[in-house]
Amino acid sequence: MHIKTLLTRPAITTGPATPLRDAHALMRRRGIRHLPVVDTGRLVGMLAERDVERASASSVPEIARHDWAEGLAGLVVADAMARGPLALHAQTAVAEAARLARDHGVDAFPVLDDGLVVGVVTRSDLLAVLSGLLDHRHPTGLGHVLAATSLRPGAARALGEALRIAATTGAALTALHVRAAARPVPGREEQERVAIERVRRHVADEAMAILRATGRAQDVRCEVAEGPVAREIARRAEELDADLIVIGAPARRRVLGALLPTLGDRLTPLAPCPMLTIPRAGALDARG
Amino acid sequence: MRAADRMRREPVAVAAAESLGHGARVLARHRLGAVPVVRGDALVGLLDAADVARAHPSAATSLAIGEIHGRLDRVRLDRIARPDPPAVGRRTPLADAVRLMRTRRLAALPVIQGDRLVGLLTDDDLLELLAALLDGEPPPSRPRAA
Repeated sequence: MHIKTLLTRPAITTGPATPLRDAHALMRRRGIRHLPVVDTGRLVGMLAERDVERASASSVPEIARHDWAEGLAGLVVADAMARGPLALHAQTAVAEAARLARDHGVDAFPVLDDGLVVGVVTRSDLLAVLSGLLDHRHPTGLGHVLAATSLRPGAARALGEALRIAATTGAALTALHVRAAARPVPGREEQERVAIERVRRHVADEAMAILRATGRAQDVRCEVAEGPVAREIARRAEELDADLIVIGAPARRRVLGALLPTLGDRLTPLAPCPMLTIPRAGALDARG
Repeated sequence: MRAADRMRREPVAVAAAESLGHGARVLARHRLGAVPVVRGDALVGLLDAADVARAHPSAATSLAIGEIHGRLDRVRLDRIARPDPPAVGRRTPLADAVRLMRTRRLAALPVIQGDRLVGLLTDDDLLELLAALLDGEPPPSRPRAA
């Protein structure tokens, strides 16, 4: 991809002896911010709107007081332009132009073909290429899935579903187990740490077992947190920039239990991203 | 790819109570086109190199160089920096963030969580990403804090 493909209009140029205010008016009229400065067919400089603003009266009244009005009126392009600008050939690769812009802090390049100025390529033109590439090559899918696990039988189903989603979309997967916060007991910190590590390993083993069963290779991070379950899941999802939270449906409950809010109920107002509830095996089978 | 994947974490910022001269020096030292203006953790403005250029004395000023610096150091940033700064969330698709930078003519775009500044997208980092994507290289590693 050459930068020639980015040139959409004939070059608009100015001359070194042009009054600065005329050059500025030309920029505004044509909606551009950079003008190659050409003297008898030869590129001698580049004038940016930024240069004009810098040379013009200050926006701060107490500084503008010292600007000399007659002096301002007499300014010409050569007074404000950058001399000897870095120019590109029309056949320069867009990638090369992007690197040069970055390495040399250039906002706009004059583009030459056979020594003649044929246009200008700006950072904005280059970034337009980037947004187009991102749309086509890197559509924003799932980046990170957070699966909430518990040690209850049946919770593995949600983890298995999360693994399947992550594997097919290429998303990263974090399995999170939240324990109710244990009251700290002095002298028992070590046992507490061991218990947390045991849970983490259990979750990891469960994930590995599911992976082996499905024959998939997937990177899974297993974590244990302590605190109110819904709040911890929401907090971690936010930190991880998760795109999806996967939780398991609660076990079948009796009449009174059904009145209590479920994890899904509590998580819904807190979750920073969409949430998927995986039904219990029986529930799904019953529906066929 | 989302804003969080390409942003600089713990980005440079300047306090709203600082001077324009200080802001201009931070822009130059870190080679940034724009720097977030903060009050505590909260994003309250964006100082653009264009804002500095507009505040700068004209080419026909009667001020000497030393006087110019003195004046710029006496102008508080919250008078100059754009209030209501543009910003995106961490999960904003990067393509949308890039389009916002183009339409609003931003050299850098703050990334926020609530009103807290958590990152900064810079056009330099995005140009590097563009070059890598076009050359078929893996995207450069996430930009370091700056």
